[in-house]
Amino acid sequence: MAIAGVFLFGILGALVYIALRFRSRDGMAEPRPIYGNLRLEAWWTAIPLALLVVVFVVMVGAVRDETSIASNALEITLVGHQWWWEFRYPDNAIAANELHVPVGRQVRLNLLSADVVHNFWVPELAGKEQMIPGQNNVWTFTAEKAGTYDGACSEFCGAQHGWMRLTVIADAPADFARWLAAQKQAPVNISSSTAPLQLYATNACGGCHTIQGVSDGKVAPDLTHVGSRTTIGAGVLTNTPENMVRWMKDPQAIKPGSLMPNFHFSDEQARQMAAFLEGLK
Amino acid sequence: MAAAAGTLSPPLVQSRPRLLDWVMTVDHKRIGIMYIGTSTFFFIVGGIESLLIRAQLATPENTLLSPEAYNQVFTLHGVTMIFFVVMPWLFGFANFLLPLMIGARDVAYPRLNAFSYWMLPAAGAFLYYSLLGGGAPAAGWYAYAPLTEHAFAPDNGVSYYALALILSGIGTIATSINFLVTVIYHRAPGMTFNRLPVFVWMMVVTSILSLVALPTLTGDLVMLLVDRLFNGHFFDPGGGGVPIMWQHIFWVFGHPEVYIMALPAFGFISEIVPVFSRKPIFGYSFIVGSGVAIGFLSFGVWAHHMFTAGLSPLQDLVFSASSMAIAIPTGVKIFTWLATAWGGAIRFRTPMLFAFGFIAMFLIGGLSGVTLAVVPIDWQLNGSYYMVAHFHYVLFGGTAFAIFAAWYYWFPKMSGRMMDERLGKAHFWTLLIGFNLTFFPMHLLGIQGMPRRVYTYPAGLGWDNANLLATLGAVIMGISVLLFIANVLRSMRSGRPAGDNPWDAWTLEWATPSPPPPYNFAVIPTATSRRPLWDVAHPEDPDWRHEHEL
Repeated sequence: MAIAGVFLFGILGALVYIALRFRSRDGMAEPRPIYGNLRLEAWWTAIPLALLVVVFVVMVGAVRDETSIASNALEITLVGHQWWWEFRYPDNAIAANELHVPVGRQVRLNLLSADVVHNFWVPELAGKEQMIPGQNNVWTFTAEKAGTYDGACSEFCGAQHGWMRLTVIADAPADFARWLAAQKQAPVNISSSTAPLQLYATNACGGCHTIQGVSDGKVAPDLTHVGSRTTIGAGVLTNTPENMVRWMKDPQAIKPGSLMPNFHFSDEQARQMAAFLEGLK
Repeated sequence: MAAAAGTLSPPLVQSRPRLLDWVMTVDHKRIGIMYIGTSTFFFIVGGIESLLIRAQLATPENTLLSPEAYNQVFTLHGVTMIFFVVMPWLFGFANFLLPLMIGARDVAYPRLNAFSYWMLPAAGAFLYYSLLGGGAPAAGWYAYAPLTEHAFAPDNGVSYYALALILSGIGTIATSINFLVTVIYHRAPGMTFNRLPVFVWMMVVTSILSLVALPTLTGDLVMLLVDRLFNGHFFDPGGGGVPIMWQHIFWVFGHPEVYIMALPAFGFISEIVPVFSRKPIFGYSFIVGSGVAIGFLSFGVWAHHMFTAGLSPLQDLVFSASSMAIAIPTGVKIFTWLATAWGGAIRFRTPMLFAFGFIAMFLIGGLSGVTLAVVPIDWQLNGSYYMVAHFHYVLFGGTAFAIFAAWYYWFPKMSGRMMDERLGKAHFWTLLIGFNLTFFPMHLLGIQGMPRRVYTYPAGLGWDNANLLATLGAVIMGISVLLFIANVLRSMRSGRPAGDNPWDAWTLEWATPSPPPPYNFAVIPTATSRRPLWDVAHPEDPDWRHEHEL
């Protein structure tokens, strides 16, 4: 980058200098023709070549570092879907759109796709790699600092490519372990509200969604702990009770083309469903 | 056509109605002008599409365009600009210029040439008919499978896309054969390969690239059509197909394609910079040789588009090395243009302004390209707005600026009239400012994490100002293009008569009236050197004496 900058400003400077210095003036004769200079040509071939060789050698080291896999790496399988993310942790813990990772431990991702080519990109943390159906790409990164990192799909994947965003949450190892254990549990308050569960059943929500102990659909995001996530619809809404009501009322108005249909819930039904989902912590 | 009244009798075509005259013409000059006119029409269409894109992205979470509409618009914008603007614009200029520059009366196969041209409007009609026939393609110009498979793109848009590009590819292939045969067999006496104008050399390399690249694309598209229309499984993993194969084959076409769109532009600049610096090109054999080197290397760099596709680190590094290598001949060209201007008596008429603009903008695009050839940087910035900035600096700041330079430079030859300098300078400065306002901030957006091809973006990520600035720049560019069109229309009617050689230039197209008669030259000229008209004006120090000096 620095080398590129030197070339950029050096050559732009030369261009401006030439434009000012060698302007034609009135009565100027034809300048002396110069047909070339072998030595100059050799220099401006050799110098960039030498610089690029240096860049290349440095890069070989960087590529080796970035592609080495630690023996204690945490293995997570990512599946890209139109237009959301599925995360499969060891021991069948499943999450969606919010990737929790422990600080200081390398993460080894198996990148898969359920439909078209997606691309996992978390700019401040992980670089990017394509997720190609029928192919298992491997990608690694290590979060050095606790925090929340924005990410997005960066390969065009259809109508809602724009709202295929994800959040990576890097936790201290103990917090991460607690979170992971919680993901394996069924939600605590599942039996307390029967009306929304009937709605869930009569609208066949469970055909696509999983709620542990209730349904095991695999097409759409796992909802077992949906109430604890920060966003709805892979980033399109912040997860608040009001937004969940809006999402229940008409997801197609918020994320047109999404595979979540509009169930035409009444206001009352939408509120009930939203309250139920928000309770799934 | 007053100039036709010479010793030869006017050709028979003159008696037909004027429109029919154009439709039925096999004259390379008229075909070239029709290519240029058609490309200009599509440039306006593609430009309107780009304004729609920038209008949608001006503010976060804007709802001006639906996601489907946005995705169709950006796909049409890319396909239009590449296949219906940049390529035919360049091939149009080549059509007009190439026979004149080598002292020929026409291309080798004039009827084939007319056929090639007519493939272009036919292909454009296919592409845009998709809007009526169930929706335009919405998978991006490189249309990664399996998003293009029937299951994910059930509308006919992608099929129209494939058919349109197959048709336009047929035209390009035929034209490339035509150019090659013309240069090999129809050079004037004395016009050795060592004396070919640099632009002609660049068209030779471009034609060879096209002959390999376009059939590759056609093969890819035919496989896609088999998948879509006959339930094939080339790219469908469910049926045993391999999606990444599309990427490989597409970029085997796609990277030579980048140079098909760049080498003719290098040719324009290599003609214009010497004439306005009043010096011969510095190091002819290096500028030609670097073009040939770029042509060869361009077949070995395709996987740099795929550093994030899960190739092995070794494959990534090999393609990174070849991509860096291609920067070296490209750098030689930039240094050579600077050395040509160095010590000259530079006349900053509009063509030269655009040529200098080209060098500066292409330099930025070329250097950002080298950064993307560094694998770990690409792992970060591929598919982001940095990429959008990079290729617009290459294709708009680069090639389109070169095309405008060519336009101002050769318009007098084509029409017999000069273009207006004041409007031309206004066009240049507004375009330079608008272009940089639009695309420079996109580097930063990419580094900040904005992916390309998103129909909207969330507020609060720090992307709002740069996007608004980009939209403002796009509006300025729109105004600039209006100035250009006004200039063309006005100059066609009432521009100052140009005369044979208004720029005091040296290549053979300036040795015949403007516009040239249908037969180009009353007497086939002789090329005494690389600059035959210099030799005529300077018998005391002719160029052929210096031919051994590079």
